[in-house]
Amino acid sequence: MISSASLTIRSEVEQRSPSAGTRAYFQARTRNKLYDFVLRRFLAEKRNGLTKAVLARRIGRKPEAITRLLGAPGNWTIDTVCDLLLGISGEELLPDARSPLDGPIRNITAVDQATMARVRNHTDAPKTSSTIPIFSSVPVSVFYAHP
Amino acid sequence: MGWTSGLLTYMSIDALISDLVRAGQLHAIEPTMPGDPLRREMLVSAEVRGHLDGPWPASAWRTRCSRLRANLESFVLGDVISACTVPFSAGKAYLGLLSPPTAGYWDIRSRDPKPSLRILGGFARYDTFVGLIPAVRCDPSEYLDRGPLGDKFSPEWRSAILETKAEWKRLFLAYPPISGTDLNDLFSKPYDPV
Repeated sequence: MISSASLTIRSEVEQRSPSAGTRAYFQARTRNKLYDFVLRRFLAEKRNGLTKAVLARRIGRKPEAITRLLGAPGNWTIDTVCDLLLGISGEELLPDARSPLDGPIRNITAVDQATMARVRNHTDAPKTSSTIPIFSSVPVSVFYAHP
Repeated sequence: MGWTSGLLTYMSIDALISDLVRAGQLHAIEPTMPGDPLRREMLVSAEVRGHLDGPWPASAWRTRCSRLRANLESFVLGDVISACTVPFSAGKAYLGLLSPPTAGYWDIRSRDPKPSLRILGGFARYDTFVGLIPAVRCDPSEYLDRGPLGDKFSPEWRSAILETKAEWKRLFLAYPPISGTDLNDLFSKPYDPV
């Protein structure tokens, strides 16, 4: 069941009068989406041989700075994202926007849906400890990168 | 073994989790936005849920907890998750393995803004994190019952980990959290920043 806090956030988005709490939610959400977007690119290129050291050289940073940047999106700026995408995959970020209220409504419970996803993910998961899964599909609808 | 009775009724971890959710002992984190995918599962205690859902004693706490909500939803949405398997070395990672590493307890780290928050828990099964104990890292918060965890070797940290362990045993009985340092055994799309 959707929580009352979630309903409040949805309502404030619909009415275009976001409170500080709702703005904070979307600020963190946007950071997380950007992080996910860039990390997917990094993991894909890592499979092709990209290392943090190489990335550091490409964008003029120290390797330890790359480790910090890829650890969390906490202090990322637009310039950070720009540098990382250029260095990782030679792409640029093209912004797009949509209402977060658009989209199909889930008609099964979170537990049921997560169970189905878990089974799917586990079936797809590699069995060796040295590999990290690479995901070819990038279902991020808000951000696009352009080569 | 079922938690609801004194009878020796054995059940699978899947059945036990469903039972705990039905009984209101654990609460599933649902994505706030209707079209968001649900690719992993996060279950939280009533205490954690209370901070996420309110009511909040002050607007500043609501704002902080809204960021925490977004961070927890990031796991549920299936984002790439950074996780550190070396205790005391998590840095900026989203998940940090707590000491002792063989026990299988982790903290989710919602670091920005201050106060930095931690949700202690473990993986009940693949792609299912159970968050039991909320805590603040350093700065005292008047909105949490526990004091700040403080330094990494502090008695408060030890106490919080023991509390997490006790609560886990109360809920899951014979099922310990999944332990191990191979992230691929714990959840999908891991990233080890070390």
